[in-house]
Parts: sequence; C-alpha cells; structure tokens
Amino acid sequence: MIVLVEGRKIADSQLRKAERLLYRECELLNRGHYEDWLDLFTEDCRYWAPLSPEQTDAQTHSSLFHEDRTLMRMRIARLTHESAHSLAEGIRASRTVGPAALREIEQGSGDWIVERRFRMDERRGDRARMFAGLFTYRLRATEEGFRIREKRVDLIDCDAPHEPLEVYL
Amino acid sequence: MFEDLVREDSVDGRVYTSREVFAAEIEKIFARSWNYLGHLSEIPEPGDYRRVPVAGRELIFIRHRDGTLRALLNRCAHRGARLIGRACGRARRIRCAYHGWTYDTDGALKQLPLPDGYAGDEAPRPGHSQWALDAYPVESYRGFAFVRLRPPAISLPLKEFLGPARDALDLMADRSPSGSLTVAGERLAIVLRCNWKVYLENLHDGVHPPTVHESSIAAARAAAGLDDAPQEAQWVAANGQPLAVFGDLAVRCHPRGHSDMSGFRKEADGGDPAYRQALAEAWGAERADRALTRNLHNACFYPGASAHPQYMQMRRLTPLAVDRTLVESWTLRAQGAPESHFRRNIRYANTIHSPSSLVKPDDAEAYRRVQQGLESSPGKVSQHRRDAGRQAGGANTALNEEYVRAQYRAWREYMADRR
Repeated sequence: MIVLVEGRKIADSQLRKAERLLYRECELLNRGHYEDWLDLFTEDCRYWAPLSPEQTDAQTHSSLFHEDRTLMRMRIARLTHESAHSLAEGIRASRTVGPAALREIEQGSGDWIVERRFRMDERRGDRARMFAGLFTYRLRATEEGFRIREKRVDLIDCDAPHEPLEVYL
Repeated sequence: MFEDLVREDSVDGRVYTSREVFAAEIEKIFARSWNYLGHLSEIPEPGDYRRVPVAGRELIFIRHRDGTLRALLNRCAHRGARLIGRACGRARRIRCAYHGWTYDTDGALKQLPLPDGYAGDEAPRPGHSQWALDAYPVESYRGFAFVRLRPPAISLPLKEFLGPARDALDLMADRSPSGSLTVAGERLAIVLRCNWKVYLENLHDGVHPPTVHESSIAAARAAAGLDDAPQEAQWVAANGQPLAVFGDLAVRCHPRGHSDMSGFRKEADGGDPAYRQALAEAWGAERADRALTRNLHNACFYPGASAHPQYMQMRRLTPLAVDRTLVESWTLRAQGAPESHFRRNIRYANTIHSPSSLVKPDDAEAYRRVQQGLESSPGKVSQHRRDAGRQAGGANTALNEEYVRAQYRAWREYMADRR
C-alpha cells in the first residue's frame, strides 16, 4: 500500500492487513459472495455512490446508492432470491483495481482513509457495460482487525443516465 | 394509416416496434403536446439555462434578461451546429463554437463575422428575425414550465391541456405556504430498454407488483421483520399487498390521455401543527388538509411527464429510440415545509427512482421482455382489455386497464392529424 500520510510511522504488518482486507473486499464481490462480503463491514457501515461529482451530503441530495447495513442486507437478499427476474440471465462482473493509497489517518477516530482507482466490467446476458472511478474506503481498527466503515464509489459518469445498477461496484 | 393499428382493447405490436410509427409519434404526439421543460427554480437568474430534450430536438430552456422564460432550439442558424454544450449554466449570450455567431438570451442574432459578405434582404444581420434561433411557446403552471413545438388541430393553452390532471401539480405547490417549490438534490436518470408507451402503461398497473417485484418484496419483508424496519423497506414491501388492496386504488382517466391514481402509501404529513397552520392560513383549512393527505401515486401528463405529489417527485419521459426510453426524476423542496419531509423524499427518490433501486430492475426487465416479445412476434397484438366496457360511468381502479385504453384514444387522436 502506498502511504501518503506524512510524519507517522505505520507498521508494515498493519499495511498488509489492510491490503488483505481490500483484496478480499473486491474478490468476494467479483465471485458474488455477498454475505461474506458484508461481514467485512462494521455494524454502522455505509455504502455510498454519490450522484454528483464532489457531492458532500447524502441527506439533502439524491445518490446512486446510499445504504446502511439494513439496506445492504435487503439488496443482498434480493440478489440471491430465485425470482429476481432481471437476473434470469445472470450477472457477472469483474472489478479491477489500481494501487491502494493510504491518504489520511483521521484525527480522533483513527480511521484509515484509503483510495484506489477501479474499473468494473459487467455482463448480463448479451448486455455489456463498463464502469470506472474511485473507491474510497474508511477502515476502522476493531478487535477483529480492520473492518470497513464506509465504501464510497465515485463513478466518472455518476451524473449520467444509467440502466439499472443491481450489484455493488 | 397509423390509427388503424389501434383497436379499443388491443394494439398491433408494430405500435411499439416500428421505426416509422416512432418517427410519426415524435412529430404528431410529442411535438404537438405540452412537454415538461423544467421547474422555474432550475433557472432562477437571467441567463440561467438548461439543455432539455424535447420531441427529438434539443432545446435551451433559458431565462431571458427581462426574466421571461424561453425555449430556444439549440442549433446555430448558420451551419446548424449545436450551440450550447454544457448541460446547464449561466450565459450572457449564446455564442456558436464554430464561427462565433452570437445570440441574445431570447434567441435574437446579435453578432456574426464578416457581415459584409452577405447581400440582399435575406442577409443575416443583428436583430433580423429570420436569423434568430427558433423559439417555442413556454407556459407554466404553478412553477412547472412546459413547451410546445407546434400547435395541434385543437390548440389548448397549458392549463386547459392539463385539465383535471393539474391536481397533482396543485397538490405539490400547495405543500408550500408560499406556493414556492425548488428543485433540490439533483436529477436521477434511468434508461429503459422499451418503447416509451410500455413505461406509461405501467403507471397505474396494480396487477403487476406482487409478481414483478417478488424478489424485492421478499427482501424487504425480511428487513421489515427487524425491530426498527426502515421506511425504505416499507416502501418496497408495499408492492406485496394483496391484489384487493390495489382494487381499492381509484384511477381517474382525464381527457387527452392524462390520468392519476390514488396512492397506496398513506403517511401522516400533518404532524407539524405550525406547518399545517401556515398552510391553512395560505390556502384555507380544507385545501391545506387535502395537500397533506391526498396521495396521488403516479399522476400522468400524457405523453411525457408524471408526478408523485406526496413525495414531491416530478418525472420526465424522453423517447430516445423505438426501444429506448429515458426517465428523469427530480425532488422538489416545498419552501416552508418541514426539513424532515424533504429528507424523507430524497430517501424515497433513492429507493424508487435511482438506477440502484431494488424495485426498478424488475420493472425494467418486465418492460424489456414486453419489447422483446413484441419484436419477435410480428403480426401479433398486445392486449389491454381487462374490464373493457365494464366500467362505463363507474370508477376505475388499478386493477383494470381503462387508463391504457384512454391513452390509446388520445394516441389515435394525435396520430389521425394529417397535417
């Protein structure tokens, strides 16, 4: 992991743990193991994909995705339901990521803010789509190691019309 | 003739699949009806503009220096180049990126290079009306602006065109004691792989929810079993109510294809006494209570707009191609209403209108399958005969298909226009 934080000594073992978590995060999604994926998040987590570039607030501004753990469980329950008609042809997606960079260690909470570029290719039957943008993670140190407090996804075309978005980016 | 494709209780599949029909619909229906341009609050200051797709054209919805609203064709009078490239902004003048022809915010030609190179009465010169940008009439009702490209055989002003369907716009504006709304929280936009009519024909369909939305209903019910089920789960789970509940939803079919349906979610929005009092002082107690309790679900302004007043949602439908439809939606903030209403409405928009909605993918799939089924079965018809003839004089509900038949009566009337 690239460390952009100045003046702090960070143990290599910590960096490796964070890297492993982020690797698993992506691969569990790529393989469609949504329940295991959700286990990587804290109880008070949030998954957020803003609708506008530079969007700072999700309460007074619409979002592409804005979900707490309960809503994430709802989405996952739907994705794995046998009568999700839109998924009749299956949905396959591959998220490819760039290097992760530790951008900040937040004062007070101690949360790690890590970002990395991504590209996701998606195939639903004969329909292909491509998404690209930036993942920003907020990682929290817990007794069981790092957990994801927030995953923010800034799509380069967040403000463009889209066909339905069903799986997490 | 196109109108022969349509019978009272069924239509030829080509109505949804033929490029020829589609092109005629754009010119005969969309160009000749009032299309939703946007809300006044989107262009508050002189020079503020937005690009808006209308009937296959691109218009500039702009506020002129004198404060009036204009709808200008986004096309230079010289070579026809598209003028404004940004989605929205503020301009003192409109300058073509190609040769620098420059127009005022009302479309008047102000400047062009080498004017001496033209001769005769037809020569382009500043102020010459022939060289102004094409401008179309804009009318607004309670802050909602509409445009019409060409008058139909029977030309009605916006207010009469909307007729009783205005109710949905009144209910929204009446939620502000000053009657003022502002678009807030940005536009959500989704692309559907279906003909535009397939979308409209689902607006009051109370038979599809338990089937189409089976997966999201099950997911929401699991979440709704939690101690504090979020409102989002309740909104999604509402689709799983017994069909009889949808049979209690009154559908009103208005002239010209418009319609509305009473809502199946009733939330108490009158809980803030000071707010209710402010509304009562502004509109009278009866009208105030009506604004807070009357929940119209999916009012339809045929052919291209719809609204959901309780959650302050305004939507515009744009036919992109015979099998592609864009649906955009905006949340309106009522000035003087509780902030909690606005925040709930944003969550409603995220839950129902975002491309990531748990409800939308299965709707979109149903529409796509209708489109696919019709494209692969030439000569077959699509039916909407449920309760045909039975509701004459009586009330319609979300369980019959009268509103679809009413849409096709309007369709025939528009399409029969020979001009």
